[in-house]
Amino acid sequence: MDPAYKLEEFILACKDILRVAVRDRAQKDARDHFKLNTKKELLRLISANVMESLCHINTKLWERNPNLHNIIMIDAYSFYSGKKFGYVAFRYNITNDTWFIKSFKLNREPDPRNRPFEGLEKLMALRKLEE
Amino acid sequence: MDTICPSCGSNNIEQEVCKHRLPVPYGKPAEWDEHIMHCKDCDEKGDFDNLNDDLVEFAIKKSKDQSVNAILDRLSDLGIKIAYIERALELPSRTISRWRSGKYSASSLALLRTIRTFPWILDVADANFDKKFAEKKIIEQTWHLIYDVIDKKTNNASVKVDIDAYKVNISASFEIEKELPKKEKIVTNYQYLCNAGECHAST
Repeated sequence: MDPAYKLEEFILACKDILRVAVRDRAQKDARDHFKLNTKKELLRLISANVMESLCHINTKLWERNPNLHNIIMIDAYSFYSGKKFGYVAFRYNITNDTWFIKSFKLNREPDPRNRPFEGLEKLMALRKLEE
Repeated sequence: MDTICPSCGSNNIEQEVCKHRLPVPYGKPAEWDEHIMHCKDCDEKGDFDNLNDDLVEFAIKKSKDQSVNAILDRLSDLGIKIAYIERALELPSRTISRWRSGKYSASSLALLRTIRTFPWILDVADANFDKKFAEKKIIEQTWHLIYDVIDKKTNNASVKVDIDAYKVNISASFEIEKELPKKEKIVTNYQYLCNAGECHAST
């Protein structure tokens, strides 16, 4: 599924602290793993657009939404910050024009940078098929 | 004014207060009481009224102030004079006194933490960041670290070197004491035999 939101709109919204809320668990993870101690620091990082190689992972329905008439989706992205491989997930509520950062943590998936031979293996497999 | 849940728009919110603790390098941990709003409708939690940032910043600043003094006290205990630090790093005189009184920047704190972690970096700075001198210092420090480990963990060490016309035999023996959780001790003898370019290890 394609992303539900334009990433640039989320990044731009992070310039305004009143338009974005952060889940307490996401703030704790940002503090523990990325040294982003405050909401200001977290939003500054996102709005400065310095998260490297942002890559869409998936888009899912927010299942705990109490208002069933207002369908809200959650977009999840992977990113790099220096040597760290991160995961950010957020959603947008159109009724109050507010973004909500659900997760900002270390990515549990293996860092693709640590699998330099994966591409090579695929190439070799392709070559074998061709032969 | 009622707090509104930014996630679902509900005002069915209750407030919780949680204690938080954050380690600050070379200082006491920063501690503060964080206000968390809990939406009872969508079960989301967060700082919906943006109250916590000031509390966190204040607590961290207090711990950082204390850490600056702790770092400078430790460097003084190691025999490193303030005047030497300022001269080696080409800082204007009394710069560090200003840091001690709380007038330090993020970059000066980063510098102090680096010096506290690697005090020998000052010798490198004093040598005008000469590459060869820096490499020599790294090797010297690595040896100190290895020596410390050997010194702490070894009961007995002996090295025997035999040289004849064609061969150099080096035999080193370390009696290593392993620390085990059950207060049990195992003594192992490692022997490395180097014979004309070939090394054999035996236990």
